[in-house]
Amino acid sequence: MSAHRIPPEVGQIAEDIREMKIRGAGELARSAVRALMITCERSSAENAQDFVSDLREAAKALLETRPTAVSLPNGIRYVMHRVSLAYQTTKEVEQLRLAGMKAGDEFISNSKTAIERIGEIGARRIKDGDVLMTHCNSSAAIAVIETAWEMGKRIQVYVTETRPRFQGRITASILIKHGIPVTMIVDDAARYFMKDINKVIVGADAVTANGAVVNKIGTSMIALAARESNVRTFVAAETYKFSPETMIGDVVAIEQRSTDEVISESELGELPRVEVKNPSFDVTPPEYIDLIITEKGIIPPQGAILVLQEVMGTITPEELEEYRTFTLAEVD
Amino acid sequence: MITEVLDRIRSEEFRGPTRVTQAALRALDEASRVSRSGSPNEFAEEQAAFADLLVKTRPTAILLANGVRLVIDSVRKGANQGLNASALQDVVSKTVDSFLGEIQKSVDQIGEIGARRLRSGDTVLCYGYSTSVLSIVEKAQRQGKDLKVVVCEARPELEGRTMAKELLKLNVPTTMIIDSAVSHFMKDVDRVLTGADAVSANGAVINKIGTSTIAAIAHLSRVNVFVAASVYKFSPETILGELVEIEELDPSLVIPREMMTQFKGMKIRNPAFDVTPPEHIDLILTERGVIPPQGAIMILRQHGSGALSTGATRPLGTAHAG
Repeated sequence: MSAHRIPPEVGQIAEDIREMKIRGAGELARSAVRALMITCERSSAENAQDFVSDLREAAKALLETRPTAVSLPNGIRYVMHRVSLAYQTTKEVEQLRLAGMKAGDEFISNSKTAIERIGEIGARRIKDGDVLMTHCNSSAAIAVIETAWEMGKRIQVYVTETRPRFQGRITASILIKHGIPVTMIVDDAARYFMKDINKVIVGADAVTANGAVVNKIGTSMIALAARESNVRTFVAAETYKFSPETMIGDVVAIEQRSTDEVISESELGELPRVEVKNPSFDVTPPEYIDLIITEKGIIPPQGAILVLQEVMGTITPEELEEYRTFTLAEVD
Repeated sequence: MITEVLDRIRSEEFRGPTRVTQAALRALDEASRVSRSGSPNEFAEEQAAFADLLVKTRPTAILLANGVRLVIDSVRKGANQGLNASALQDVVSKTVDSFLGEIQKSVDQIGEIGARRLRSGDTVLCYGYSTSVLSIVEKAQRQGKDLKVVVCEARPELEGRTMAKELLKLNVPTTMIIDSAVSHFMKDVDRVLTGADAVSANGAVINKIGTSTIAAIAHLSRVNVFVAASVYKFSPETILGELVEIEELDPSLVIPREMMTQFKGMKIRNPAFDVTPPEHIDLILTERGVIPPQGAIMILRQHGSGALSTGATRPLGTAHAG
């Protein structure tokens, strides 16, 4: 139960996550899982109990790194659950080591192919000639758009700039590299152009047990404008974005980011006593979402609970309580 | 001098249609005083030409169009009656003064009427820069009502910051958020209060881009949406089927010019206004009283039809909305 049991590489990964050198939901989860695999490999524990407590200690260190995206604890739980299942049948350290390595491998390769699968599945729902709208910068949403384009569907994309950090510009530059026609608009103009749009497609930072989608601030307004205009809203989300904590009543906390993203300190100086609030995410209710595209297939948002039950396997409430985080982090 | 005035009016110096109109009509008055045109008709036509340029700087600002129309109508009438250029200059000054006086009065009256619809303890969400909204907040404060204001920055021109400055002068607790965060904060808001650039015959309100989204969210959240609009903002042309023109602003407001090369082949659209349908508006606060948006036609019948029949200035071009 001492800190020296955590291999230095694991400490380094934890540090890189904390310093935000490792970013993006997929990469976060994969790095944490990689760190657990390193712990499995290096553990010098002589009995099963010590081996599991080594792993548990590494898991805790990784969970504590910083307010984190839903993906990181999901990756950790994926491995820990499988190790603890193995622990029930064997007390051989080598068997447990193998179980941990295998689980980690599975998680990493699944998450790597998830985006590609989402692209293939989602692209089938895009029609030739569709005009799409997307918000922020989501690799899953981009995969759907790119795959549809590669299938020869002549599509156009409206990209919202996404204040305050303008991630829409990243999306736009990726799409124009493929030759996809892109129109950039301010976020406020989403409703104005909605009558020209056939489908809205966005990513997700988290999906909750009731099928609500937590995504970049502004998403819920666009989804509302789409619903009001009878335009479909698709969410592209890997299954490790689904938050099992919400099954036990936790709400996904919305991170408040620095005010200088909104207004520079010097300009704010001219507005003494004005309070600036800068939430990074908002919640789109399931009734504004037509479907969620996951690597395991398309579900209605209300089917989120099925994904959570299936993907999380038989995670015990104790495991959920043990490996959980509370605040959702920025994911670019 | 004329280009200079036009540039100033086009620039960010003037926020909100009321301030734009005040500046433009003063410019029209000044221009008439330096006019060297000899014959009354030449004078009238020179004024009309300048007026036309002024209106074109802000084609969506119906207040400006209506004000200019009044001035040009009276100048033409004077010219037809045989007044000389110097007498016509007086006509311009008098009409401008009286119109600006009317506007100021309407801002005060809208303030009084609107303030009655706010309750102490209300959190009011303001969008865009609006002289009338400021007047309402000021009058409500004076009535002893405790208000909190949430103000959106209003991309891309960020006139929310100017609005915040004015609100601070009134000592109102003010919170600034990005426009995208409106949905997130709507549960804390009691009233949405906006101005208007134009009101059409069916009660639709043309205002700063983003207004229609906010109104849709407010409507869904059972938060009342109040629009403050002088009767001079109602567009008589829309009775005849014309649509209010939606200007598009400089794309460099969306992507800075120095970054444009990174986005070769990308289109940028930057409409300055959008259209909020009447069904998302609870009431319009005018200086003649509170009306439902569907009552816009009544205001236009009582007020705007005279202006229409003269057909003086035609400020409205082709359009996308209405």
